Amino acid sequence: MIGVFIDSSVLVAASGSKTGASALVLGYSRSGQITGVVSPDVVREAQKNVLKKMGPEKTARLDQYLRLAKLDLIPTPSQSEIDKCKQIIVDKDAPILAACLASQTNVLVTLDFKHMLKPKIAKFLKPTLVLTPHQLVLLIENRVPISPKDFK
Amino acid sequence: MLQPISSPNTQWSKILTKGLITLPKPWRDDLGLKEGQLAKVKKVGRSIVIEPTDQPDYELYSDAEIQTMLLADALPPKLAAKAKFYWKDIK
Repeated sequence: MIGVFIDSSVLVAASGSKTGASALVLGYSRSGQITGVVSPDVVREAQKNVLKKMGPEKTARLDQYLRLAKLDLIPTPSQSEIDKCKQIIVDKDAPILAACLASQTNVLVTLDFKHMLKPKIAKFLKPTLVLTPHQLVLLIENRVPISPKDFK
Repeated sequence: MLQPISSPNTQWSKILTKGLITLPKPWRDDLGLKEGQLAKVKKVGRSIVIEPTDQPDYELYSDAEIQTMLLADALPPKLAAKAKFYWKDIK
């Protein structure tokens, strides 16, 4: 099964819309088509954004996603792992990038165009793919293999 | 969940004069706590939490960034219906 590290931006977008690609990716995790993975920093960053930018109703929706999407919560990476990532990305995103690296997932899904969806991040995380939720949806719906064991 | 006393996350330490306490070296190394560095100390109920001062200050997306995310996230009707189906039981 595909392991997918889910960035906070994806949780934010899913909280904003139940019919977008981010919500569908969380739906794949809920139905067992993928293994969705998050870290404590991902959850906290998403909660902060949804509460401040979208209000209590969408925050309740985020809580429901977190409760129902069967996401694996991995531990916060060590300081040395975070420091390594600070050389690649802004300090605020380093704990999330480090958690993604430690998770050894096949894909990082993100909507953070400013920091994450960059060639240097793709190169750093290789062989993990860095995709938008929309790109991942298209790969899954069209049954494009991401790794040899994906669609067995 | 209750943690056993032998857990690597639990340790008994003696409180010295003026409240000095030694934090286990592996924990200091893991959290990047260094001698001379300031740490944030918080009293939470009957517990005390010590945090490195470089705790991440999480990014707050701008309204424009969130709009861009939602636009990039839009799906054609058939796939949007599929997403809606997965989450039909939530508000």
